[in-house]
Amino acid sequence: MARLTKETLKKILTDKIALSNPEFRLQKEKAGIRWTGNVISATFKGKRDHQRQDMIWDALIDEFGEDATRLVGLVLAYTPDEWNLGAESNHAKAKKAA
Amino acid sequence: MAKMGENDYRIGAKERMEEAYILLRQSRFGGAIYITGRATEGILRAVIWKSDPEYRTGRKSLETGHDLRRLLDVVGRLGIMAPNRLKDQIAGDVQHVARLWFNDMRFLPESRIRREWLALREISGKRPLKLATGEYYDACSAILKKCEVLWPG
Repeated sequence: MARLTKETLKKILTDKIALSNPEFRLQKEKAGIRWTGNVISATFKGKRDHQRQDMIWDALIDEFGEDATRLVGLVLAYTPDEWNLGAESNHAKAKKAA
Repeated sequence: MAKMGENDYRIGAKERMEEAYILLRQSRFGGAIYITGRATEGILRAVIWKSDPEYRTGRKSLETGHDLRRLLDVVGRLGIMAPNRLKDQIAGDVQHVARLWFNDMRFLPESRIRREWLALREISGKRPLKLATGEYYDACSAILKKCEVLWPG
């Protein structure tokens, strides 16, 4: 089974989905084998969540075949607007704590 | 079994969601529907455990069972989502999922789940199970994503 670096995964998803200005928040699972996390891009705007997962997994399966699910776990796909709601939440918490 | 914590619920919910998508992609709708609902329960429990230390320490226990609407009520009372209306935003999706999911689905064949959804008028001749399951998955995913942003990083 191929090893997969974070940079390679970012490049595969960016190129194969043709992501516009993507931002990645990826980390290895505790067991240290699979990458999971979030990808934020305006390219996902207007797409339903299962369609976004189709885009991600079509890209990964095209690249890795059956190994895809052994190399990558759940990657949630956000638009910048959706992601910023979380930023507001974290900002509010930080303000409250200060 | 060891006591469950915030991380167990959160990571478990994400793993269930990932597995649900694999089943959905293969048109295994019975399993996808059951597991997606379980992921929703898991992430709501993770939010509660994260937000109220009394659950973490065992001083409080959840009296909600597996009722997603009651879990949402607990989340609402915690106030964690108040600042940015996130609680209001997940409420509609939780209602969508809670109407269609129940704990005993874990025992049921897809044909029985199909009959239940037919009785609820969630599916019909013009609205196939594939379409309804896709929308149900989207609602669960929206809940997971909106809760997930509470964990920065």
